[in-house]
Amino acid sequence: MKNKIHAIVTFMSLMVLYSCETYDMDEPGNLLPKTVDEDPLLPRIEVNGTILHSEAFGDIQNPIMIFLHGGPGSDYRSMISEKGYENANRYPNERTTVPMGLSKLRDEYYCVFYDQRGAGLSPRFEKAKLTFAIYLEDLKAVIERTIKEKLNTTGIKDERVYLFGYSFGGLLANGFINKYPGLVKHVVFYEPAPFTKENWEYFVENSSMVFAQIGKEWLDEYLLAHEHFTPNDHIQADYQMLLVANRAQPEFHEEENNPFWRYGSLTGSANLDFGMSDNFDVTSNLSSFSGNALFISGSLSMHEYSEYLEMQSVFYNRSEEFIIEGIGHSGVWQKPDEIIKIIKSTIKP
Amino acid sequence: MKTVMNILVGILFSVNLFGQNNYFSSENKYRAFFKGGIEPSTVFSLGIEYKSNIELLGSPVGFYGQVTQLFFKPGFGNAEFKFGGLYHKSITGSFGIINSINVSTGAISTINFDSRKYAVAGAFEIGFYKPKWYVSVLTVEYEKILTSHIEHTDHFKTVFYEGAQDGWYKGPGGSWQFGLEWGKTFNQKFDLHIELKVPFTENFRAYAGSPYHLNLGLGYRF
Repeated sequence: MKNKIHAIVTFMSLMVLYSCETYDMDEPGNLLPKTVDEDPLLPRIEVNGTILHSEAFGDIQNPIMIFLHGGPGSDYRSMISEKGYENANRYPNERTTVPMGLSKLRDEYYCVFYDQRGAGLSPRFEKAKLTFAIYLEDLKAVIERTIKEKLNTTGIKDERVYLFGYSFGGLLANGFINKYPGLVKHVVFYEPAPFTKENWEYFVENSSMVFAQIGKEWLDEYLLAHEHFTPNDHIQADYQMLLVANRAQPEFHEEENNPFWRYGSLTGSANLDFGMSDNFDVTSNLSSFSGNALFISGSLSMHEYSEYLEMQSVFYNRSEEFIIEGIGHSGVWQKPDEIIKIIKSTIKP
Repeated sequence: MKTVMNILVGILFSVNLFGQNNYFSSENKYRAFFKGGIEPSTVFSLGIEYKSNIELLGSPVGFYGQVTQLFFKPGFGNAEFKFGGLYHKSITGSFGIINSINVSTGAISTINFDSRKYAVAGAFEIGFYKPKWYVSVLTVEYEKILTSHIEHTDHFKTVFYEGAQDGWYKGPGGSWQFGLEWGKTFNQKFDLHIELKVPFTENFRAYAGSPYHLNLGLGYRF
């Protein structure tokens, strides 16, 4: 009798165990959304030997504005979403509202958004394929592709485009202008990453280091998560990085609800954050640029880095600075209308 | 041959959780301990060890249990419980090997998910164990996370990914730690212990967490 009960209990335990669905941590779609190489329904472009997650908004007859997101490793979701509204769905045909945020510039511009390689819903790459030089060539390919598309569709041949660079995207825009000053008409920066080693040092001196944040909730959660799953696989590392997102730099005054799809963990350790290196130069040719450069910052960030905006804008012959009250580094998502207002009142297409 | 056998048995029986000093050769049956440091976050552990009468190849087998909590946010929502066995084998003179195995379960509650993990681990350390001090010249620990149950928060599903799956996950990975330890005994009752370890993922990719694990421990024998 005892043996029978034991057998029944064992059998039932096994049944319960097998009836529970188990998921693979490294299977795309379980912990994080699939990327364009894994999900054929996502919007995409093919450039520079790869596919990238990308969308465009507006009339292609309008001037072209290319939007460069931050990170490195973040994506463009926060630039087409807006605080107080539903976050942009990754499938355009499943969106319940029209895209918000900076995509509202579509009434005057043809707005092109893309996730940089290794970031967001663009494919994952190993570190060796994530260099600033490759990022510059990707951007050039996106611009050339869009100009060609416009020519084929409308017969209008644009020679130059507008750039919007947010955080790391600002450094990328700056590096591109330094290399190809003739391809850009005007540029808008929202709190761009430092352009020079000196500016990096100023930024670092005024930022909290990780050791100063021991005991902070985000750091405890991020580190303790390593006891529950280790970053053996790229997906697991990306998933862990989301515990850091919007939280790690108190001086940025970011909102925790600032949305994105995926944070590319390897972009952070790749050769993109090179600001402190000695051969760091993305400013030597900026004098060749004839367009306007708008530098926009939130007042909360400005309070932490009071000299920063001027230290950055000094490299441009024609620059203007703007402060938007009550926001920090996630201001693009918080108050896009105010950014749009500045752009529309300052640069005319 | 006997020495090789002793090393093999030691390795097979292998996580040292607390510096052993000469505890196993002392008359005391129990030791309570406190350990605090960074592993992998700022944590502290409370535990107890018991030296049983069971012997393996002429050396005693011990057992232990411990609970680990976040230093700045104690509570069972972020705690880990560990139960295991310990074995100290003297190879020649004061030179010896200490091993342990353990099973553990832990919980974590974050802004993005709640998780409960189940893991097994094994470790060995090789060193010189004197009556009043010891030094481990090599400590190797391996932990295999068998499964984790993950439930995502509304925050995660709203801000990042609405399609995240809640449930049991296989393949959460594992980790290696390599390090050094040192300890000293005072008044035959009190143990002081310090350890420094370097973590890696189980496939030796970047751990991307604390670059080092550092612990300071205090023990009381009775």
